[in-house]
Amino acid sequence: MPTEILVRTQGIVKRYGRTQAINGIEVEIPKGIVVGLVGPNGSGKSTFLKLLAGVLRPDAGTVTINGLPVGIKTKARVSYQPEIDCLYDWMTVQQVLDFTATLVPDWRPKRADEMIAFLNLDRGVKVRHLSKGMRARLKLVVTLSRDADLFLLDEPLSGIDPPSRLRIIKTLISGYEAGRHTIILSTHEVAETEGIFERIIFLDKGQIKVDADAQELRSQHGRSIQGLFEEVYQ
Amino acid sequence: MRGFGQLFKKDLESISLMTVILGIGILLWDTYFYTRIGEWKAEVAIIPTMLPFGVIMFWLVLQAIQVYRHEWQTGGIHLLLALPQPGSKIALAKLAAVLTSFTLNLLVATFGFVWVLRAGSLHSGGVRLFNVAMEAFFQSREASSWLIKIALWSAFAYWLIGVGTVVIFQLVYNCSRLTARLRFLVGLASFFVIQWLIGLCGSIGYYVFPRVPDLVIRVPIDTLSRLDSAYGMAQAPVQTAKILINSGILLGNALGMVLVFLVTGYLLQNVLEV
Repeated sequence: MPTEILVRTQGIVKRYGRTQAINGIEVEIPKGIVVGLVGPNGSGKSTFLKLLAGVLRPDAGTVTINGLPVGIKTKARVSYQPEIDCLYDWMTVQQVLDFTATLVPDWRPKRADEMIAFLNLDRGVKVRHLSKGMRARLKLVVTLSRDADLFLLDEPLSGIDPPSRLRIIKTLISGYEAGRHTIILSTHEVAETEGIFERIIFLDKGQIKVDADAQELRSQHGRSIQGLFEEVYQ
Repeated sequence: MRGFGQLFKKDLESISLMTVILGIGILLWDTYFYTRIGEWKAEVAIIPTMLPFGVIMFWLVLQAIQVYRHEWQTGGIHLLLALPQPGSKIALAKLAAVLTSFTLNLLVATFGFVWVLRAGSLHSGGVRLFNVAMEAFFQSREASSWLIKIALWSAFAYWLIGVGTVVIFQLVYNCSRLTARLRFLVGLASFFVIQWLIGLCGSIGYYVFPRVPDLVIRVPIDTLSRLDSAYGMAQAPVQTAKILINSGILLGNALGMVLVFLVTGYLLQNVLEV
């Protein structure tokens, strides 16, 4: 059975003024796998995810998801978690959930309840009173409570303490349905997450440096992805 | 319109502090002048109570911008642009939130104005408008209906100007977000272009809708003095002159406003970035 392609980019270019953030990336990502998007700061990871989420538009090239150009229809099937704090700080945890639930077509209230309990979030607390780690947990609940085809997670572990990181990774694994959900997770902290990646894309200066099956990469080079990451970006 | 309520609530919250500050400010301002009546000439106390109506319009421009600026300030724009929602719904929620705040402050300003005006009329100074209005109400049906009509139409026209102001400035702000630099100049330029376009729509409307009946505004001639009880109020008919306003131009302008609103929605959905 041929693999169904979920994400296809053709020669995408994105510039910020004179800086070329993405420089002609061509990639095909099949349905139902976990992809690690790794690279140092400024390599274009966030920009790439934003282009898939439809919050940035390419200057050249095309992005399709499920064969459709990025737009309202694809946004209905894509759940995006930006790296920055994007939750309205005057809302309570429950208000954040209610807000998102009414604006997306695929909200799973049961899944949200499970994650809220697992991640020890208090529904009555305002976002502005949550610690950074707790806000990261809440962002994850908002993103993963959807029944989307594609989950885009931009640095979900960035600046988070080790216990929170562990819980976030466990939450990711617990909700993932192999073959149905596709996750693209960007990170420059590879050691903790490399175990969940099936495919790895190394980005550097807006271009793909390595794009390979994670397991094959480990066997070929006889070392962990973290080891390779350090070697590639030395 | 699933989710509209949530978007509206969020946008109203983003400008709630501004709404409350202005509302309290207006009440304090009116209270101050209320306490001056009797010490100052009634006209001197009442005329400044008109000022909030001007301030509200200025505040409206700030709120029209703030309701969008807030999204970029808080990072909420990442969430908003990633949602599978049409840009027109997002823009409509913001428009509705700003207009709600505008209407509330307009009510507060009107209440304050009538409150001070009424107190002023109790004194023997030169201001008799409130007394005149009350006398007209009880003694001359024609005069009272004219007073009420003119007051309601003025309020409605003022409110419509508010709607137009919000629609224009929301597009102006979104246009300024299209560039990373010189945003103020881009916004300023887009403001003039939008004004020109709305004017152009009015001109087109003049030719396209020639058969729509003109609007008739009856302007009072010497009305206040004729209504004054000193001049024999009960018998006084309201003397008015007619001003005709071409409805085609107004209709063209209104369609121009709708176009401006749709362009804002289009930018949100298809062009704007985080």
